Amino acid sequence: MDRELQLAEHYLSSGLLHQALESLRRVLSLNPEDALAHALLASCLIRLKRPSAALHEAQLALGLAPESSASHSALGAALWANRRNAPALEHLQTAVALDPENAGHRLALASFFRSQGRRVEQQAQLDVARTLDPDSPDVIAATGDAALDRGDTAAAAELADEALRLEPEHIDALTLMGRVKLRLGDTRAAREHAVWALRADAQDTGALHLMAEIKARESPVLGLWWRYNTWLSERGSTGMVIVLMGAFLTYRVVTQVLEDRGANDLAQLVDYAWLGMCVYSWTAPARFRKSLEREIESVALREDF
Amino acid sequence: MRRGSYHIADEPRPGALAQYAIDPMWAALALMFGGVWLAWPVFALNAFALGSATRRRDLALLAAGLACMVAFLATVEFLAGLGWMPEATYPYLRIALTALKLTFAFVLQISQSRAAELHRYFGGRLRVAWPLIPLGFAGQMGLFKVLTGYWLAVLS
Repeated sequence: MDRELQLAEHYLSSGLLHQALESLRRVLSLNPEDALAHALLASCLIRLKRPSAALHEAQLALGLAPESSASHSALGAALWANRRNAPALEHLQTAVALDPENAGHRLALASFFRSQGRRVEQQAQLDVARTLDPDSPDVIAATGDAALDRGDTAAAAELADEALRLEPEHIDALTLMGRVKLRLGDTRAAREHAVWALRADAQDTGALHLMAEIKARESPVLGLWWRYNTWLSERGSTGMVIVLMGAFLTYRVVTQVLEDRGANDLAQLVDYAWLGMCVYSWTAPARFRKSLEREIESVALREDF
Repeated sequence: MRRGSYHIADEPRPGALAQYAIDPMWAALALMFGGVWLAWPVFALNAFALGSATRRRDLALLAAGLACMVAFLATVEFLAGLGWMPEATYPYLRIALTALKLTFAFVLQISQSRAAELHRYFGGRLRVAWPLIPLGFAGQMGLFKVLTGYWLAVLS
């Protein structure tokens, strides 16, 4: 059982999410009361973009082990994934309070602070995490991200290099190095790093953002398209419905107003534009996926990469 | 790889109807080409066919959608009776009603898409339901002959 749990943790840290999920499923089939397995499953489900199931698992973990920092950390992350920021922060802070020596919990809290733009608190958590676990590529890459966010490219490059030396296929470190290269104007190297990260996880948000930035550097129109798709893929279902309905209402009201004012030709033009947008929206996700796959396959990495 | 028996909360539990599961996109198309009279039953049946973990929520959404449409039209009728609804506003009210229907359909489509993805992940198949489109067209025409006013606006 412990071996299976270790295997799941290994899969999780390697980004092999489906394998991790099946491994945890086996653990929980034998022992449904294993709080740590529930907490790990919650983390896995968050990364698989199944936030409601993740929340359920994290709540089970907390129910089984209310004093466990892992349960609180998992629940905090799951609540954050479900956009319930206030209770998420509470649980992430409780996890840190219960186990102040755990660098992973500090890192999760730092990520939360970063998403909220609370840079000082983020840096404070990262500094402690770095002291607790100086050889963790996760911590080093996150510290590098913070350095790059505040414009310290040299420090970010150094940290990315350090993380990649420890784990050459670390997705966050690859993405960080890609961002550094892009900042330094080396688009080719940036693309190589983005592609390498996307080969490991084609849905990684950071790597997708980096690729969108690279595309934008090459062509503003193409960049806009990549940014739009990346942005859209990050929206929750509520956000998506609001965007779609907002677009529909704008279109219908504009055509109605134009028709009321006798500008029928213009109204027809708007109709055609809407039709074009509908066809585009219909095909865009598949085109975006194909374009991404092509990008991942077509970029030949240099031998010395 | 051997799969354990532990069931995760959002995973579908397909039953006897599983072979009739369709991609929810077809139900949304049924709304566009037919109307609520076709799309709502298709969404409801598909929730069961997929064995969706959110099928109760889906059914509640369908009921809420119908209730909202009826409430919207009743309010309009009431305000029109008081003379507060000039004729020029009617086209905009039609737009609002369509938006209401589409909102519920989009929410349901997104909800069932997740279940459909998991259904496929577990080896299930989704049927291509193109016959819904001609059925929608034909049914819509029949509906215009049978119904008028209030119920036509809700069900079309």
